[in-house]
Amino acid sequence: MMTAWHALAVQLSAGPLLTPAAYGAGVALQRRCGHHMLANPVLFAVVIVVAVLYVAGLSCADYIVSAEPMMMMMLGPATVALAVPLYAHAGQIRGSAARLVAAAGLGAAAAAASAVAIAWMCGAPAVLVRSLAPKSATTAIAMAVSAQIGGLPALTAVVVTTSAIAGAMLGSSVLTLAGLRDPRIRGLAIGVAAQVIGTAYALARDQTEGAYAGLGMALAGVFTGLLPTVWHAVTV
Amino acid sequence: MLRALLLFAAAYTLGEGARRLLHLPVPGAARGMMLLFLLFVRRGMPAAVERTGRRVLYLLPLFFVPPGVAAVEHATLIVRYWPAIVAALTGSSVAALLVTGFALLAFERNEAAGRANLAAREQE
Repeated sequence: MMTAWHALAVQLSAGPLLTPAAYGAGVALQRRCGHHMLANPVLFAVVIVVAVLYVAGLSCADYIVSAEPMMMMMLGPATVALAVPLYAHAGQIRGSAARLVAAAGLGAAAAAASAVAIAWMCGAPAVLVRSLAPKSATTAIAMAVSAQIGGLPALTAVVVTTSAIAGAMLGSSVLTLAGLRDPRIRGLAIGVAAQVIGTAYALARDQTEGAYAGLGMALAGVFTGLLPTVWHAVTV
Repeated sequence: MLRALLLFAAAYTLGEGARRLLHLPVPGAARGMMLLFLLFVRRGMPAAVERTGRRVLYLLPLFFVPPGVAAVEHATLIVRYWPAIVAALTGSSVAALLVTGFALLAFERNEAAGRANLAAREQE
């Protein structure tokens, strides 16, 4: 009786209650940290969920069974909404569109190719290499691509977030060292390398840099979305 | 709001349906996003759709909490191969920054040179 009640309570509350509560706490913590780049609400929320599960004596699997169906059902349509910023950014770049699209495409391809090459050379197993390959896309697109090419979407989600934080932190110094000072060039590069986190950071520096970062992020998502086509062509 | 949500769901269903029926490699969500983008290009983006879209995107990170927790289950993989992961992430981020930056710089210079050439020819 006790166990049946316990299982019901877990299934009802773990996913639908704990997830928004932990994310809300993560957003509040981010605000407390003055929106610092390292203060990521998703990473905070994951730590909170894991801590609550540990205290309650539950396993991560209990939580995932409860949370995943609901989340996965809504993730697809929510990801489609990325077309809104893509269209909003596409409006600002008439005239130089081809150059921007080509540069972002080359950057996204270089990111995927170098991530795969480095991981492979360091002896990473195939499943890890596949999880790292789509790291240049926004998390939602990257997870979908990862599932498609045989990676672990969950691992990809963490990889994209970590990589975006690293890219945003490194980005500015790397570009300055390389002598790239034009805010349009810097923005596009940071958007391709560090997605949303990089865009927020670029926007704080300069309006133009921020707008081009948003564009770079959107284009990297589109090109990474095409990655499975290339992947299947290369590996078959 | 409801109409916009229905539009997102319809675009996703079309994208995912095409992927499953035709065994296409590009994920349904990415396909749906491109489909919706093309629709905006042809027909414009209604303000209500934009508002709802931005609201949905504001909540998008919420969906990454369960995968983040699930990744804890892959902790052994991460702990065992962390040097490879760190090297791949750092290396590929630097590659993305430099390739994107220098590619755009080269394209712009090329364009500027082309324009100067054209102007010089017109002067002759």
